Order: sequence, then C-alpha cells, then structure tokens
Amino acid sequence: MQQPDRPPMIVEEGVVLGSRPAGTADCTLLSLRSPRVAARVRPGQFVMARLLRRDFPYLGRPLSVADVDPADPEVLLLVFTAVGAGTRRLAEASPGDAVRLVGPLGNGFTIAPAAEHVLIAGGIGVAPFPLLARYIARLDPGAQRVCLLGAATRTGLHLAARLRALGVVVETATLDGSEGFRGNVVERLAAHGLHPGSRLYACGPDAMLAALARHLGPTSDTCQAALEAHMACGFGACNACVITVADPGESGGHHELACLQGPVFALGRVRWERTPPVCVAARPSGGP
Amino acid sequence: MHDASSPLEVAVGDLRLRSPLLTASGTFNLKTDLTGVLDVRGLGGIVTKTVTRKPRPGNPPPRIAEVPGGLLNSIGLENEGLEGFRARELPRFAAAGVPLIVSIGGDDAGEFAELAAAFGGRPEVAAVEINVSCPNVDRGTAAFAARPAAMARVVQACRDATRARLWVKLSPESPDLWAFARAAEEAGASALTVANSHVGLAVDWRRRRPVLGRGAAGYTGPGIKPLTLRLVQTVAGATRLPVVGAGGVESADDVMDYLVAGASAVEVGTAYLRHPGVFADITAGLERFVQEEGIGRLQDWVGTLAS
Ligand SMILES: Cc1cc2nc3c(=O)[nH]c(=O)nc-3n(C[C@H](O)[C@H](O)[C@H](O)COP(=O)(O)OP(=O)(O)OC[C@H]3O[C@@H](n4cnc5c(N)ncnc54)[C@H](O)[C@@H]3O)c2cc1C
Ligand SMILES: Cc1cc2nc3c(=O)[nH]c(=O)nc-3n(C[C@H](O)[C@H](O)[C@H](O)COP(=O)(O)O)c2cc1C
Ligand code: FES
Repeated sequence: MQQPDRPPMIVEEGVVLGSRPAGTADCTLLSLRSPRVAARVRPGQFVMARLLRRDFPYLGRPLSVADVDPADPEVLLLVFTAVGAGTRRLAEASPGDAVRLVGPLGNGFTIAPAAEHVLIAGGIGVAPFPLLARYIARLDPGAQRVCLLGAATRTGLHLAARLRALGVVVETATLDGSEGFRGNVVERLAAHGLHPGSRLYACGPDAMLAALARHLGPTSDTCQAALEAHMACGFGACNACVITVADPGESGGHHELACLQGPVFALGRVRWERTPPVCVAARPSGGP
Repeated sequence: MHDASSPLEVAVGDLRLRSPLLTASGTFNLKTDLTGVLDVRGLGGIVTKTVTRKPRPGNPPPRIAEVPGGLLNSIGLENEGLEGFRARELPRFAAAGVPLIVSIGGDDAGEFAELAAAFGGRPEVAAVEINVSCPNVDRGTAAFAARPAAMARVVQACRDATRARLWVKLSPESPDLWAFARAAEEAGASALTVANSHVGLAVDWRRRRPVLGRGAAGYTGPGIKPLTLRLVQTVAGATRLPVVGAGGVESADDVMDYLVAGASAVEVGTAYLRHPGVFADITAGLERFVQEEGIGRLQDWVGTLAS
C-alpha cells in the first residue's frame, strides 16, 4: 500500500528567513528557505518541523504548509499558534536558524472544478488555506472562492488579509461577536447556504469538524476535512496517529493513519465517537 | 553498497549482515517512498512490527507522549494479524533485499509457536524475533517477563515448531535478566535482542491523570541508552548467544558503545521516527571511523570492553 503517485518525502534543513508575530495572540508566521520541500508541496500537506539548535522537544511538530511564496518559490510559510513546548520553541526561531523539515507529508486536498469552493476554518485551522486558495485559482480559474473563518474572538482570526489578497471572499465569525457574524463557523455556514455545486474544504479543531459533520448530514461525505492527530514520525512508521473511519456498510470502522492516508479525510467517514479529540491529554506538565 | 569484505559487515551468529544497523520492531515500514532519505539496501536488516495471530486494533489515541530523553508510546501492538501480514506486508518487505526478521507476539505459547512455524519456514525470513516483552498489552511484560520459566516455555514451543533462527527480545523490566538470557539459550534461542522499551509514566498533575490512557507506557529513545547498554553488557556476559542491542541508538558513537559492550548489531527505533535520515547519518559516521581513525572491521570490536 505504498501511496500511489506520491513523490518521496524529503529531509531538508530549512533556513529561517523571518519569524514574526501574526498580529494576533500567540500566532507566528515563519518563513523558511526550503527549496526541495517548497517545490513539491501540495495544499493540505504538512511537514514535521523541529528547531535544530534545541534538544527539546525531541520530535518535530506537524505543521501545515500555509503557503509558498510566488515571488520566491523556494520559500515556504508556516503559521502556527504557540500552545505548548514544541510550538513555543519554534516561535523562538530567528533568521538564520536551521529548522529540520520532513515533508511534504500526507495526502492533501483534492481539487476539482466547482461553481463555488468553500473553505471552512476554525482558528488556526486556516493554516493550509492560502496555498489551497492559490491552487484552486490555478486549477479552476474563475470559480468563486469563499473562506468562512471562525474563532472565539477577533484575535483568533488569522490570515484573513492574505486570503483576501488572493481574491478569496472572507467571511468572519466570532463567538463573542467582536468581529463579523456572532456565532460559530458552522452557524455561519448555515447562514451562507450551500448549493449542489459547492465544494467544501474544512480544517479546525475536532469539535468544530464534528459539529460540521452533524450539520452537513449525508453531504458530509463530500466535504474534505484536514484532521489533527498526535504524531511521532509523520510518515507512517509508528502507528501513533490513528483515526477511526468507516466506509459505507462498514460497522464500527477501521483505523487509518492521519499522516499517511490523511490528514485529509472525507468528513463523513470519520467516526468521532471512536477518535478521541486530540487535545484531551495533550498537555503534559513537565519538560524542560 | 557494501561488498562482502566491507568493514561494516557484522554477524549475528551465522547470519551475516552488511551493516550493524537494523530497524527496530514497530518503528519502520515500507509504506512511504524512502528514496533519497534511506538506502534500504544498506541496512543490516529489517525487523517488522510485531505480528499476532489475529488482527489487533491497538490502544486508543493519544498513543505517544514526549518526555525528556525520548518518548513514551502506548501503541498496543496494532497489526493486521498473520493472514493480513502474510498477504500484504511480507511481499513488500521481502522485495527490500535485506535480511528480514519477523517479530511475533502472542498471548500464549501456542500462539507464538503457530506464528514461528508460519514465518520460520519461509525463505524470505532470515530470523523470527520473539517479542515476549511488549509493555503495552495486558499480557505482555506481566506474562512472560516476570519468570524465566514462563518465557522459556514460549521459546521452547517456537523451537519445537521451527528450525529457523530465533531471536528472543527480552524485557528490561525483568529482574535478573541474565537468568532470562540463560533460560532462553537453553530453550533454543539463536540470539537475544536486548531490550524492548523500558516502562515509564507521564502524568498531567492538574487533571490528576496519566497522559496516556493506559497509564504506564514504553519509554524509548536516548534517555534509555545507558540503562539498556548495561543490560547488554550483563546479558553478553551471561550467555554464549549473540546479542542485538536496542535502546536509544542515535549516532555512530552509540553503535560502537553497544558493540564494545557486547552487541553484535543494533536496532534503531525512536531516532528514526525523529529523523528518517538517521541511518544514513550513522552509516556515514561509521565509515568515517573506519577511514579516518583506522578502526578496522567493526566485527572485531564486539565484546571488547575492558573489565
Ligand atoms: C497534519 C497537522 C497539521 C497541523 N498544522 C498546524 C498548523 O499549520 N498550525 C498550527 O498552529 N498547528 C497545526 N497543527 C497542530 C500542531 O501540530 C500542534 O499544535 C502542536 O503539535 C502542539 O505541539 P506543542 O509541543 O506546542 O504542544 P503540547 O501540547 O506541549 O504537545 C504535546 C504533544 O502533543 C501533540 N499535540 C498537541 N496538540 C496537538 C494537536 N492539536 N494536533 C496534533 N498534535 C498535538 C504534540 O505534537 C506533542 O507531541 C497541525 C497538526 C497536524 C496533525
Ligand atoms: C512507536 C513504537 C512502537 C514499538 N512497537 C514495538 C513492537 O511492536 N514490538 C517490539 O518488539 N518492540 C516495539 N517497540 C520497541 C522498539 O522495537 C525498541 O525495542 C525500543 O524502541 C528501543 O529502541 P529505541 O530507543 O531505538 O527506540 C516499539 C517502540 C516504539 C517507539
Ligand atoms: S505519525 Fe507515525 S504513523 Fe503517523
């Protein structure tokens, strides 16, 4: 079951060009010169990234490739929030630092012509969407691209300006009403409405994706969702990152690897009750 | 890459390996195209994920937690089972062109024997590694790693079932590991893998809960190297069997430490998960030792620790 048509993964020492806070709380934009990964990456794929001058954390962290610089196609962009030791260390990277990247990893989104492409993001789940928006524009020119971007509060809305600059119509939603629609992104989607020609892409916390699946019902089969899972390797060697999915007629479901068969899954296949949310035990208190 | 006279060549008993580096069970497969990252043909061998008679779903996620010195894992022997492995995985491993060591696990001696018979007789299988030491299943360490006699019954049953090379993977949690080593030798083992994961615990004190669902989990990575290295020394001194070291190998220096302490070869697990280029890096390091320090044949360093 070697993944068909998938180019080999690359191990590359990316060089940090710039790291800057993304304006909003705890979010970092990291640009890296990483010619080989940048040349191969497709929307929705990710890298395992680790700051080389630090011994801890031991493992890389899975991060979506947010964009490849059209002006310099050797440069890729990572966008992440600092939630724990690993992402905090990466946020400390300064120009010239080496970041070991393993990637591109995972399957990525599949793009096909549609009347409207709807990108549904919760919080930092927006990370893979700039590159996706770029590819949609290239592969389906003229199609409408909309991003429904939700967060708890306005400081959690990331990358809106970048998406707008790419010609995407961005509609925001915040739970506290501090910007845009008051409510969550699934409610925002309900307000937006869907037509048969809409193609859906989603990325965000498990709770959001599960709510989206409930809202979409049977049509959730056609929504491509990028999932998170705890990973050790990112390339299918350790079996850490299992997601329970079920195909039509299959009861109970089976495991697939988020790093290999995912991270993008048909939303309707995911069995949320058997896939515990990634954040449950994700905060060990220790570590230097 | 290495010809028969390569200084990197070693032997585990009568099995010749072109390099002392093997993959460790449960940390390697060939589902990803590794071209440019890892020259599989340069490996000394591949040890597969532990295979059980029936498919096993493993433990619920999260299955790993990072700790200083490596990681804790609680995979729980997820595998496709004998039939699935034979049909889908074995052909791919066999095509890799390096010695293949199939790791087997089970709940009782009969299950081990059935698996040993199923794999032991196949020409593409160089050896069977008997995993009597998985910490992440209900009947792992507790069942076979507590008493030498319980472990020896498993090894004996496998020996009765096949004439193949049998590597017995010991648990670092066993008391008096030398006694296990001798019992395995008497029961017909061909080599000993020292060792499986240590057992550790990470807690989330605010929630008063273990970080991983089962609580205790397998601790692997550089933090365990000194512990396992000492076990290799102990076991190598207690039996005539060749020893394969496994625990925290990350560099060419680590490999040499293990060889000198008594290992004939080493398995690399966690370091590969962290950095898939690690085999290439270690191989380059060993070649540098040979070329720049004139250390000669690696084989000649095995078990030469001054006492
Ligand atoms: C395919 C994929 C793509 C991702 N892309 C992005 C991105 O572009 N931007 C971004 O901000 N985040 C992204 N994430 C989530 C990101 O990987 C986690 O926030 C990060 O691993 C947390 O590490 P930490 O050490 O800072 O946190 P800690 O909580 O200290 O981490 C402890 C352990 O849990 C794991 N972990 C904790 N939270 C998550 C999580 N949500 N998902 C997976 N593993 C987790 C860590 O990797 C680590 O092994 C992505 C996750 C996946 C699986
Ligand atoms: C994710 C993971 C899965 C493992 N699965 C198995 C297994 O199925 N069978 C087994 O005998 N050992 C298993 N091990 C143990 C390794 O084979 C090895 O003995 C241990 O990790 C020590 O080596 P290291 O420090 O180089 O990782 C596993 C280890 C890890 C990290
Ligand atoms: S992270 Fe190792 S198999 Fe997916």
